[in-house]
Amino acid sequence: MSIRGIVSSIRLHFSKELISAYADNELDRSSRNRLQRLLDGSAGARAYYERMSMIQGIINAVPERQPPGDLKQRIDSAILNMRGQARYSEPAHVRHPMVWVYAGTFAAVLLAVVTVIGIHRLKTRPGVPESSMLASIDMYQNMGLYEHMDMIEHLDEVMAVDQPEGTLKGAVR
Amino acid sequence: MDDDTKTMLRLKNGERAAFDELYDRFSKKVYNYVLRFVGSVDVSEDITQEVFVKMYMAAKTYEPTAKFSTWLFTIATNLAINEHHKSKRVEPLEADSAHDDSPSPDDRAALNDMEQSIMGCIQKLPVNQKTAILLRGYEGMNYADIARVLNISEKAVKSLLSRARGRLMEVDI
Repeated sequence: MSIRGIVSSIRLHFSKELISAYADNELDRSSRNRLQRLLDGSAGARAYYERMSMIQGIINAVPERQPPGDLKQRIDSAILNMRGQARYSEPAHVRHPMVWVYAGTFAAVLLAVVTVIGIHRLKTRPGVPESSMLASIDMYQNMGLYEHMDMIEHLDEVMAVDQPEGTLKGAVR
Repeated sequence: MDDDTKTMLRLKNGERAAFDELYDRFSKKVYNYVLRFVGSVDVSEDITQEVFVKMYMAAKTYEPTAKFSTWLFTIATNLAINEHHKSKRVEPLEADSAHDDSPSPDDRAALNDMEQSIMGCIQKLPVNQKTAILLRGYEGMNYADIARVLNISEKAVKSLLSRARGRLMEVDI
């Protein structure tokens, strides 16, 4: 092989990447011009480029095949299956986000019912004075009007329940 | 933002019809890409199914950082590479096919001679070279997108393609 031939094959060896990128139209203008000069001046580079283009042409020419007709159906059922599994693996509050709304509503209603029943029972319980009645007793105590307390109806019942031992006993009948 | 990405965002927002549109646009491409990658009709059907199931399941968290097709082919490539490694691991157990990269008899019946010949050559390439040559040859992806799929530089893609073509040129097609 002549020196010129050796130089040419060395240049070709280092230009293979460029030739490949040239075939893909991925070179900038200056590299493209450089490679075109190489192709013009080197039979070996031209032969390499032509063979590469032919191989690429064969690869590109392989016809595409249709995927099987039932593939979409299989994908749909696989997705349904996956979604089902994903949902079962989630905690209950994620699977059923309304559960907190229902639970909150139920708790609020329950609390309201218990409160109403409690107030009602407090009012109707025998021997337990209403709060206004207790306030009146306090007022009398503060005014020092123990002597008039026996005038209050049911006071003995009140005292039996709420007043401390010995404080007002003497004043009651 | 390209049309496919917009469609994927519609799927992200819960529009089921968007999935059907994406399937219609990409199922054939993905199927053929995977078929050429793994060289088996059955396996390529399974992988294509998995690609679309993954696409659907990932829609909730999808962010359009790259072209949709690049994102989808990244999923397909990862699954195909996994399958490639899996089949390489089980190969020594199957004495008859330990060094046989050609398609199975079933696959041979389904493919014509030229497809078989091309597939046989491409199957023999190292996995990164194979990915690059398929994405470039069949999908017409540019170097930047191939680099994203393989998570390498564009310069590395250029080198991979050049080496892959160099190897294919040594084989009689």
